[in-house]
Amino acid sequence: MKPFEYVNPKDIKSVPKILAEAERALLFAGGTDALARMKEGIDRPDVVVNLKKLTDLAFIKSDRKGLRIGAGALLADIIASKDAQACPGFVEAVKSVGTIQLRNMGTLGGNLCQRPRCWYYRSARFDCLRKGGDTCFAIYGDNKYHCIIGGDPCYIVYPSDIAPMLIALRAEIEVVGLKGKRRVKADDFWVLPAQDPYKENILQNDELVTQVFIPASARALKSHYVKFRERDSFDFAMVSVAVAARLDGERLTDVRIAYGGVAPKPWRAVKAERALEGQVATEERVLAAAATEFANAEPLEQNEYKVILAKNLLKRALRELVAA
Amino acid sequence: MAPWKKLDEMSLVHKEVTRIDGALKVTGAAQYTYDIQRPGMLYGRILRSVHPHARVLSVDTSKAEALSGVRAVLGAIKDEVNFVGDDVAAVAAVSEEIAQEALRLIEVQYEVLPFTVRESEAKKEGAPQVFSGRPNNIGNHDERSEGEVEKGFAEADVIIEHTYHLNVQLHTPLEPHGCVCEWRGEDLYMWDSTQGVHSTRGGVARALEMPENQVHVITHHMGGGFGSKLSPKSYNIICARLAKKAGAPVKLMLDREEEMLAVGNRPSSWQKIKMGAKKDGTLTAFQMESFGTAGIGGGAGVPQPYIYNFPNWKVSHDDVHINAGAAAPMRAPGHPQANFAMESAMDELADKLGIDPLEFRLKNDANSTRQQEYKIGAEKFGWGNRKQSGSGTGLKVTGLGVGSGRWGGGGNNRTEAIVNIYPDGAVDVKIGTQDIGVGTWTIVAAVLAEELELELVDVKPMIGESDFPWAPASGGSTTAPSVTPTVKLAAEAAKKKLLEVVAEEYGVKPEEIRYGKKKFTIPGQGEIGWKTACAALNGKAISEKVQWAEGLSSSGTAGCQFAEVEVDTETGRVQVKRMVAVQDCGLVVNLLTARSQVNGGMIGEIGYSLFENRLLDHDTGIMPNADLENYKIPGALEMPDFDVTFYDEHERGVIGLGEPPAIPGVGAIANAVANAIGARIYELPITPDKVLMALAGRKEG
Ligand code: SF4
Repeated sequence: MKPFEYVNPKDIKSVPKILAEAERALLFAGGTDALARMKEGIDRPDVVVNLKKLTDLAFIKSDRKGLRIGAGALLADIIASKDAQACPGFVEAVKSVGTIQLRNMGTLGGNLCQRPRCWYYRSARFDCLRKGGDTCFAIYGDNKYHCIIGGDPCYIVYPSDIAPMLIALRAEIEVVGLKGKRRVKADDFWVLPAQDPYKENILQNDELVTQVFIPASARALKSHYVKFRERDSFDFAMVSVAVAARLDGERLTDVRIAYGGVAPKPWRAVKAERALEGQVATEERVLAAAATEFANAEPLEQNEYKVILAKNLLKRALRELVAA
Repeated sequence: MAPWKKLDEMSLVHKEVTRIDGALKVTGAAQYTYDIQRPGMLYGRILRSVHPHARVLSVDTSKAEALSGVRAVLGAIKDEVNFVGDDVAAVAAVSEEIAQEALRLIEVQYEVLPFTVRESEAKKEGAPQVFSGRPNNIGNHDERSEGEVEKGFAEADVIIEHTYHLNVQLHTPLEPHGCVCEWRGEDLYMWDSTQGVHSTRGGVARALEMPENQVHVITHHMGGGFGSKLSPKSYNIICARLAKKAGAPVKLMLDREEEMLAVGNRPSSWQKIKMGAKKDGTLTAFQMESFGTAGIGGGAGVPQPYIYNFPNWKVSHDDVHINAGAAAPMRAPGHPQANFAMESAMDELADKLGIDPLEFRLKNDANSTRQQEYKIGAEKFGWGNRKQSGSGTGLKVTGLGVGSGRWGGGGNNRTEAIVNIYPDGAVDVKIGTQDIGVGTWTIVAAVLAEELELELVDVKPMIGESDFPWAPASGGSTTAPSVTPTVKLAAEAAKKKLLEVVAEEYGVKPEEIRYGKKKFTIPGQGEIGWKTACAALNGKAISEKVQWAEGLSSSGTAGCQFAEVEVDTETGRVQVKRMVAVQDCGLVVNLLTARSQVNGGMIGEIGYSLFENRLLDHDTGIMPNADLENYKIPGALEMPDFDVTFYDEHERGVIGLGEPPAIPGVGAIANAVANAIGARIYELPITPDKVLMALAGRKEG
């Protein structure tokens, strides 16, 4: 590991300046991802900015407008908080992250800003496109876990479990930078590689995520998160899906669907949403809606199964949502 | 030589005895190689090849040497590197971080050579050569046959033909390979995570061209090896040389990636099998063409035809080299591979014949022990509930499967032990075996205490040092049958000596003294206790060195396992729900650790059949999943209920149990999956993607 300067900022406001001035700065909160990247040598920062001491990043509050959670809140604390229970799908998503140990260390902001798990990206041995190299090793390589839609020129999947649920719940993400605060819809926070192959979100160099806002309207929705992992003990999602909707008798309204594990960003399934809006979620209709969504999917050599899995998981998620 | 006591007369052997080192382990007091700290100790790291095949033209270590904190550098370890992860250079520094940084400063010039990492491509005409002089990368070639295979197929009413494929599995011990080396004058002390203190002493002495009695290898506790740590590897030698050069002790522990690349793996296997039977279920013929890769090593053969009786059979096998680390023995080399293919083929044939798979096995398995085990297992497992393959409906479907195994596992006749009885009554045994995590500390103490009719706390086992009498490396299921008879015999000899001394002291004949439970009854003189008796030694300890002898152990086990799986048809996920193992291993020395051993075997089988797969990137030769996130071993939530029954053959004496339980379940799980989904997956591991595609294929027709 390369030697680095370890900085304890005195408040949130001073972080953007540190980020802007450092040649390569790394934000360090729970450290569950950052430390692994530093050890592997794929991140070699000059400055490590410790966010753990910024206690005003670690709140969980709710009022009539909605639920506000600081980026520094621990995942385990979110799961335990009374306020969060108003959005059961959100709690499910947070619970499905990693392992107990990781949830005890990991923060909300860290989960939303974690870097991809693509093994070519994670290994210092591959100088791939996302790291500034000129090839994507996944296109013709071992791509079982890669994306089926929205790839090109990079085929990662975005690994966060919480991100799809935030999109389904119409959440917003607050960002602080040199120019002050801004609020971004969760739906607009992550980007596809075609827009920027080096970053997974819209954060500028001087910016950090400070809080997440889930509007009160989410409390009126039923929400559910289904994560499929190859190994229950510890795994990222092979495919996951977050669903939120109002149940009007048997009919779904205000349907929102967002997938994990299928695309380089949490994938909002707009076509499927449209197909299901105002409908009764029969098995045939759900499968047809998912089929429409993934009609343009371009699976790689080893991940055709993800198309089947994505359809089946939507079926499962809505079946369980309606039954709950 | 006295035989083992009757089962009901023993108090420590054939009982459930908790590990005597259990408290040390759970409190963290047990010193593994990783825990060894020496004054002034440095940290070693190895620079490893980034190319799968290259000539090393030059290694410039000057910048690394100049880095503050670096104490020794070894440049240009090899002229040619043959896999990604091969040794190039090494450093020792005052911290692991500095050592790691120093590796970055070493400049290596390579002449990159053509390589191949797919065995199916490597054996083709014109493929890049891993070694010169081995056309088509064929290493060992083997052909065997019995009877007339063509005639056998002519007699068959039903024939199946398929290729079964197993990928490379890794040993994945919790503690990676590694050692600490300290020179004291001309003598080298090496704490090593090894399965053989003696084999390591010999190997290190040869490599360093020094007398064996100047090498002292110590392994008091080690975190698993599964066959990968049977003999010293290059890191041992590199560490010793770094320590010498630096003039300070050096610790060199491999990290997880190095562990996965450079120090062993289980070979892959492709088995193209043709198998025939008559309508009544009698097997008539078996034919196999197989190949597999052990990387730059050898030993990918499989012991087919496995288990079942074929009057006519013919097999041929090729070891195919690729540019990957050499394989190492792994818990029953070749057997799980043979088991998967054979048991799969047996079920397919049974299906075609319309015979119950278990009936089919009973009909074609000549082993009388296994005949009994099948019946016991079927009863416990509820085999009668097995439904026709693919008949399940709904979101989750279940399936049942069975598989079998065999192994040798006898004692090594050169094993020796010394038992000492001291004048103050203290007792110890010295034997140069090692506990690789299976409970050898405990069985050595238990056998000694049992023989001397003492309690566990009264005896001190001393193992894990190459300065103790010779015992074999812990491989091939040989430890228990080598060690326990030898310790028993040495204890018996020491007891005899003690009785002689006591007899002389009290003026009686040894055979007149009755000994039991720490009490010596001397005719006319009443009872004396253990300590009083030992005081008769008058300052000189008894020290009896004895060699292993026939009669207390055997070789040869049978065994079968049953598995029930549940398959989620929406996700393709296979969950093993229950496994039932019926296993013989002669006299079970410790019923508790033996059960752990069988559970551990089944855990390994679950990993092999459902999760583990060493990948090599086709275009770069790099292993993309060289970590425990992506090389998936099962965790606690993947565990089924385990039910272990030992088939009692105690009269055969002690037989090893390391490999036997790591075989039968692989095929049993694969068969249970096929039974559940009504489609067979011909390649391990059976992962959700394969299951989903197989289910989709079934739907389409
Ligand atoms: S998918 Fe993206 S991160 Fe992975 S190798 Fe390709 S460019 Fe790199």
